[in-house]
Amino acid sequence: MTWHWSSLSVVLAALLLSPLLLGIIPRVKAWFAGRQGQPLFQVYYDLAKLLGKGAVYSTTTTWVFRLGPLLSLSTIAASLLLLPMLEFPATLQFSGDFLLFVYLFAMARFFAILTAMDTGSSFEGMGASREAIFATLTEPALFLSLATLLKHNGTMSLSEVFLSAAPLTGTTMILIAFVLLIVLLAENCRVPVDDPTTHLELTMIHEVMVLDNSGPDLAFITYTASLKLWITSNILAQLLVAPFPEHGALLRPLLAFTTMVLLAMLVGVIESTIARLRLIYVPKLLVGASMLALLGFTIAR
Amino acid sequence: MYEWMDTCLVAILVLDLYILGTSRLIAVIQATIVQGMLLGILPLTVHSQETIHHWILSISVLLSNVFLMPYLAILLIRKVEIRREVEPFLEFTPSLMIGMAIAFISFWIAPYSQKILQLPQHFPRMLMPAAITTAMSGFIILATRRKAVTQVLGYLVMENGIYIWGLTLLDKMPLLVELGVILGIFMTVMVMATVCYRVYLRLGHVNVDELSNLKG
Repeated sequence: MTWHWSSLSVVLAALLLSPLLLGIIPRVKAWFAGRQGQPLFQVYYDLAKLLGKGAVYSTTTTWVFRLGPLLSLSTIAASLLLLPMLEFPATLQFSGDFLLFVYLFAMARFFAILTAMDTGSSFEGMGASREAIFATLTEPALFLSLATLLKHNGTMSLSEVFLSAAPLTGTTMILIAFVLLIVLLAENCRVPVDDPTTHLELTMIHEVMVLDNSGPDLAFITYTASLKLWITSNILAQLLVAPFPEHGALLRPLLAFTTMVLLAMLVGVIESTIARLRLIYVPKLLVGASMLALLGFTIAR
Repeated sequence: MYEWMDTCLVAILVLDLYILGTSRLIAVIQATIVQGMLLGILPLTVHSQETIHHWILSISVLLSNVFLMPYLAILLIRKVEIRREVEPFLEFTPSLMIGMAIAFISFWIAPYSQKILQLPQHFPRMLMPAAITTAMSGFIILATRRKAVTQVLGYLVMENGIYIWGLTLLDKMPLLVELGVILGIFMTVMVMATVCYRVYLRLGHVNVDELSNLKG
């Protein structure tokens, strides 16, 4: 087990910059629609406003509902410590850390589902059930992509994958990058899997789960969403910039961050240009992504 | 050494999975067209003395798999007015998973089969698995889809796999055999297309499971 205390500065950067990443997407969508759009720092304003408010709790909810958003946020924040970010090693590195990382990542969703179920609303239960099934189908895709990277580098630790001297290139990298893009869209509840702006009962997944949350709880949930976007786009960005030759110590983290911003913009472009899939086709997409990841795992050396 | 060939073969494998997972017939045809193009490129990525041999094979495959057979297939689905494969015997997602399982297993057994066939040591490692997977995906489509039109397309995919298989023996096998296979498949597709159209004219549909009603 190795601790890299200097990487805490990158974790801090993630905590500070992730709402910015979430704010880029609506801006791109607005630009596509010919509007000015919200300020880039809107998510920060929202968070500040929500944290200043009080929360309203329904009488049917229990302590699970109050604790859920906080636990969800803390598990995501804990998973930040295990992930190498912006070409820096993870704060905590050990053999097999990817398992703990993926499960911490999944646990955040588990608490979100529990929170939704605790309201006792059949409507939120429906959203929770959809969230659960899509999460189940996304997880193999994420696992197999990470496993491909680990197999290629012959290691069991995420930090060694993203800082390796012989990164994954060629067709396998394209396959895995494509799968990770779908994982990014699915994990962050984006089009084509889910539409974050919808308020139509029959199609909502993530939005319906947080209908009952208000005030600081909603701020925690929004912040969790921004950290999730940061984590997933960070994995993909590091995969994409890895083949570039080394030039200076600061250039590569900057390159990785630029790629993350570009990925957020790409999410905006995808949301503006394609329609969300019909609900029955979403599992097909996610299983297809898992199968592509398995193909990548099979051909990786 | 085999970088271009491997890229082509991975693309063919991805297309196999796409074909297994999609219900739209026109998408399947488009995928077989792209596969045919990749198959046309494949012989040129093999380093050998007999280049003229490779060029003839490449051009004949391009002609048959990119132009003639997809043209026939498109003509057929227009005539019988079918756009989608509905409710196959095996659903799309399971057949996609089985296809991937076959790919996984064929990557695993390929080294042994190469040893048995006494192929050279530096043999491209993806050729054999891609051949097995493509042929088997064609077979899955042939065996589990309800419409006769889809089965014609499954035949096309299977032929692509057999062709890749033939590439492994490119230097040993005479060109004539290879061309004969392509011609044979082309004739088969043509006959099957005609039969499908006749069945459609007579019965108004091409569901194979209802054809058994015709038995006396």
